[in-house]
Amino acid sequence: MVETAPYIEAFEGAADGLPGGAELRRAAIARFAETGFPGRKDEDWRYTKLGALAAEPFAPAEAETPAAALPSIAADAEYRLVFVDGRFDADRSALPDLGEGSYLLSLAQGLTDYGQFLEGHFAGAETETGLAALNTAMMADGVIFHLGRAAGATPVLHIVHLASGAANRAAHTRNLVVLEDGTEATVIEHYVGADGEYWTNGVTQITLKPGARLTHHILQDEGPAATHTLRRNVRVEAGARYAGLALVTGAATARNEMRLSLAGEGASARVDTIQLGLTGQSLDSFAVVEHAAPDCTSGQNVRNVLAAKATASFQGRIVVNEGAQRTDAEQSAKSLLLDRSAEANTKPELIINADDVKCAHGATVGELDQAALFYLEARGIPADQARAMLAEAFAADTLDGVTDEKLRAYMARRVAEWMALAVRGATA
Amino acid sequence: MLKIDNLHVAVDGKEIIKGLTLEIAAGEVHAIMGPNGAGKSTLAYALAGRDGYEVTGGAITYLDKDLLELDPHERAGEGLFLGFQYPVEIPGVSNLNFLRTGLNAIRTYRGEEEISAPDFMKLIRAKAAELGMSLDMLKRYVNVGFSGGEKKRNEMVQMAVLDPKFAVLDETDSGLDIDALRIVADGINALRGPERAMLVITHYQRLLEYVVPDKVHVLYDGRIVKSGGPELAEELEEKGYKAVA
Repeated sequence: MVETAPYIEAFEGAADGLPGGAELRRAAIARFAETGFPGRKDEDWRYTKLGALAAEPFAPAEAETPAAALPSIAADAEYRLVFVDGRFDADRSALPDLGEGSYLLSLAQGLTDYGQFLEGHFAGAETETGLAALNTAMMADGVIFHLGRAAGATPVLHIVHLASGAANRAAHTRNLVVLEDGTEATVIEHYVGADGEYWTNGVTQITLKPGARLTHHILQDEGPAATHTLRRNVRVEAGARYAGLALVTGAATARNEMRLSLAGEGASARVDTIQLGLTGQSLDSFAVVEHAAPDCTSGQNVRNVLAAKATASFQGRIVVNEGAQRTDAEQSAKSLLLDRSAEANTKPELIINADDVKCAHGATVGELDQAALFYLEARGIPADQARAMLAEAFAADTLDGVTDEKLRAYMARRVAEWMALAVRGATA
Repeated sequence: MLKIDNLHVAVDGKEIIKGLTLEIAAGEVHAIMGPNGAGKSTLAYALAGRDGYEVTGGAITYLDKDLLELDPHERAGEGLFLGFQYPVEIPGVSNLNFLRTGLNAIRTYRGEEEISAPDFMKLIRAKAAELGMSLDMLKRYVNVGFSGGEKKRNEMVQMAVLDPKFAVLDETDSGLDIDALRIVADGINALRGPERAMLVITHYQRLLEYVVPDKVHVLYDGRIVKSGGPELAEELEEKGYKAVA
């Protein structure tokens, strides 16, 4: 178990400099002190290795120079919010007006200008896990995105997190996304890493009002020594839709946690994940999908490709509440091990309290198909390239769910680069 | 072009090919016939270099090179093509991507430039049309959802695009109706020429009515027990393998 004392101390040191009121933060740090860091004895955290946070406490990050440039996909984005070590960087960002009744601003700005209003949204977080509570106590920056009913456009937001790689620094970022009735938007959350042992601890809260549609993609490409813990709370109201893909390639330890509630009739969600792990990486995906209303649909595809002592885990819980009739939920988790040193864990869990329900789940762990490999080689394709092609193909159907062609091509390229690297690593 | 000398091949430690000798010159089409379990597919896989088909003795010389020294993709690069008895389904890889990657890998192996996307499309359109395969099918994943006949036709499209010097066709005729058989035979005949050679492995004489071979060999229990002209195929059909062997 990681010691909490140094982190509480760091909070005391930083509290005066953090934006907004102190009350919420005090309540959250008290919650954190009480719950502590999650340990591996906690069933929901059994696959997450947070050991790196214990060796030396991670102090709040200061603004530094990023190690990487803005990714090409975001460089010409109309709406772009760039953060360096978790701090909003106005110079690298672009925030054209969204029109009457809509807001797009940094959290630090928001907490300064509309503190009390926002804290109302954040209240409740004190009952969260230790990591989320620490985030509430320490949150320094993030994105406030509120799309009002009058919004005519369907904005595409790029949220880019760049890192300096400064050692033992933690960035606690908080995003709040609210789409009013019938509105539509896309959010792309992109973490671009740096070498160095740093920690990203993010929380994103999303509310989709009736009929709203949000496409939300996450590209997690943190540095090789980073710890990355991301938490999403998503509320999908009647007839609203939440969809997206998380492409996870980075960090020594990563946890991508989602708690999604289909809260109104006819709400739907499609949440896919691709985790690509190499060289001892530990990638953990955890999802709770709650069907709280009738006639809701949810789908999850998880694809893990692993080599060289990497571990990937998926814990997926589907909860169908009493009265959530005609629920249609499916979950598919497949893992491909490129060598015998890699490990995949999948743990599906169904808790069903209604009787008219369709719930399907499947999980497989396998290796590359030798017959297919030989077929490619017999057509002239060298073994390494053939292996990479097959591993790419394994993730292809999940990638096909990304409808934005430019983004899909960008992600496909990232997957291809990774495969080329992984295949060399796995055969070496 | 191809010289197999006293070849021995074992699978899972069990000897399947037990001293096979065969020579095929440029411009020739040879047929190998034989009953189930004679070693026909083992010979095909050994020629293409599949893992698990261990050559325990003998030699194969192809275009004056030691074929057994080459990896499977290098053999393809040298112009060897294996038409599969059971073409593999590969979900997630389109036929077009598969073929273009293969063609470019072969070109790279030969020190040639990669083919441009428009030139490739022109080539594939022409070859697919000749063999009665639609472009829509080629956009789909490799062999996924294809019927037995479509898979074999797809093998012929691949052969036509990759333009091999030496083709081994492993029971390409099995599972085909008469129309598909004719198309496949036309595909094979279109590739016949003085610079090329083929080894057609078949179970029945049927294909050889359309693709008339220069020589027919009977493979029985891992050895060639009889060789002759096209008339040998008819004799086999009449009398059965046992009588001939």
